[in-house]
Amino acid sequence: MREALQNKLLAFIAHPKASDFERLALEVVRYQAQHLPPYGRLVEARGGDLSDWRSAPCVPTELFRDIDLCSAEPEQPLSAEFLTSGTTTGRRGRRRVPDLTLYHAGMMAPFVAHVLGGDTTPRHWLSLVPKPEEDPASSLSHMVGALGERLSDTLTWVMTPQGLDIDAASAFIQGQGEPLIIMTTAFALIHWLDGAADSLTSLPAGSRMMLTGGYKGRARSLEEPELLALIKHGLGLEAEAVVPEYGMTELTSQAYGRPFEAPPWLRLRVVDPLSGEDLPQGEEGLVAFFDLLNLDNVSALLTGDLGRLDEEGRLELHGRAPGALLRGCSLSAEELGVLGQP
Amino acid sequence: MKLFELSDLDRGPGRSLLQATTAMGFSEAVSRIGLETELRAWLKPGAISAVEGELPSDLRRSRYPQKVLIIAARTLPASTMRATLMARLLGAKVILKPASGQAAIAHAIAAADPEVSVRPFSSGDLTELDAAIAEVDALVVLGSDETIKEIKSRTPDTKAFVAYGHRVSAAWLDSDADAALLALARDLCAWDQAGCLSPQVVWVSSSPEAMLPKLAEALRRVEAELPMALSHDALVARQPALTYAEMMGKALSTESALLCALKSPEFRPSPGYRCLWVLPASEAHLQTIEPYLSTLGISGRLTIPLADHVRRCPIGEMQRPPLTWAHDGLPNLSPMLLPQRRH
Repeated sequence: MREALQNKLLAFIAHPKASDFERLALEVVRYQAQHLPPYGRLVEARGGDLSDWRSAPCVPTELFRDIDLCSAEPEQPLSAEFLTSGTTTGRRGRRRVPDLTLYHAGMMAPFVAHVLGGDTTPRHWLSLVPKPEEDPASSLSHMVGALGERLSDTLTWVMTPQGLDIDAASAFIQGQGEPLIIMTTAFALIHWLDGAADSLTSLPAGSRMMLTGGYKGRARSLEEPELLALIKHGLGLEAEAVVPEYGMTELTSQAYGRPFEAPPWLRLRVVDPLSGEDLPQGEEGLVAFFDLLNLDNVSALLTGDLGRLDEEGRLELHGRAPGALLRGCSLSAEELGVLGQP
Repeated sequence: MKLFELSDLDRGPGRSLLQATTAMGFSEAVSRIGLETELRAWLKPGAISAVEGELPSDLRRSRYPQKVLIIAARTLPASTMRATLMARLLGAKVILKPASGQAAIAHAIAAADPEVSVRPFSSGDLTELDAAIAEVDALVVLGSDETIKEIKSRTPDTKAFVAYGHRVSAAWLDSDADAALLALARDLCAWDQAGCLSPQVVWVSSSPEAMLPKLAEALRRVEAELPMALSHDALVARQPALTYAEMMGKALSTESALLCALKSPEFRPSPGYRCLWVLPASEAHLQTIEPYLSTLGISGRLTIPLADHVRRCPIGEMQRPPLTWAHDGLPNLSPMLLPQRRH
């Protein structure tokens, strides 16, 4: 059953038709309710209605810290095991991935369209993200490695276990004549631009950058216009060549752009935090996803991010939803997490 | 003591205290009962002298603090009140630094006693903090471990330093008798479960799932006296717990509370807002949380010993600590005394 469903999803990735999404989404969510017992129980607890994929209960992404949300048996060999950063609570979420076929199939087209601007000419890539061998639990490292393997001419990694090799990053861009591709998180980029202000040079025309992630408390934080100005000043890249990526460990697919645009197999949603119902376009709420390619995990996910959809269904992120105001003296879950308790 | 003026919650500073407490989001009934419970502990005959009894009779005046800085970084009004009372029992003047947004609580307390002054400043304002520390000879800090560590690092050794960190509490129930369930419901609803004396989990000797409807029934009766409006914040904070319970056990909601039965006895932190984990009894799992445990409400029998800092009390009394309660295992007055000078 899984193989058949995976084949249908691969066919959808190859030739996406919007009208097929509804049918496939229902098949996927019913598969998950059947093969992932905790999710099946959740569906049951919410009334068991799976007549529409939008009625599939969303799982808060933070529950990946507490529950093994993977339909593969525990002893089944895995293709990957990704961990979240644990920035918010100190505890890391875990996502087991028994098969990366869908991941690899789904990552290409959106990346090529948005980050490479449709140009698949192999280029020299610079990654400020750690190598997959050095951080095998990072889904971002895996993605950069897998994309680089398929699309780059060369891929140079400058994030070492000791930290960012600023000199190596700066040396890489010197004397280059062809367009370059830079893969980075915001915090690593700022660290580089701050640390190498005197040794930066404008990148060759046609160079582009994939920019992802927050600052995770590791660098000074900047609003996007300031960051874009810093990039323009240091590397000569215009805003349109700097492409934001929105992905997370719990998801298989990625959204790109400004605002974020999802590939056909990923639906971006903004829901009312109380009812879980989709909000009309333009209203702010919690960001939720339905990711068809999360076949072995859970497709309907609820994040702690705030956002708004525009009239074309693209997502504008407004940051993290503020935590509830703590009124008392009780030890919070976050404090317990930091202390290494369950 | 002038602070006793607070005991009339219908006029004067007591009224202001009640209003400031409801402004924190507690219903008037929850605020009133919470404050009255604390004030009753103060006014119980013999309570003050029992606390003072911890001091040696030959204590030299030079060891009494003249001025105490109380930093209420994040705590309930009852804790701020008690810390202030203890400092005033030593005759010290008090500077009260309230948490952000809680200045009204401090002002209400100060209105009852001219020896208490309020010093609101941002927690990041180290200049103000250092100035306040320089002014006093003893500090009492109510807050997170991180806050305590930061303030302690700025406090000279010559000053007394007392800290009460954040803790969790739990309940142990081996009965489904109405009285025990009602008592647990009261412990849960007091201060809307926001206090470190509030139970976050209850370990039960019978089936947790079977316990849910019985406990829900008790809660419905208590909610009538102690209502809590379900705010947006509360629902958002409880959402992951609800989903988790639906996936791994069973959830049952009442008008204000969320009860989550699980098969695993492992302690789980509650998001608050009257969300209680109902777990199968396991003394071994109770022990894992012991270092962070403030109070264990007990109905029935527990065979394991618990560390001295853990307050054991009957269920129903969790939010009613006597004035002599050794908060976090510490005596109430002597930690505020000035360190002995070496000759």
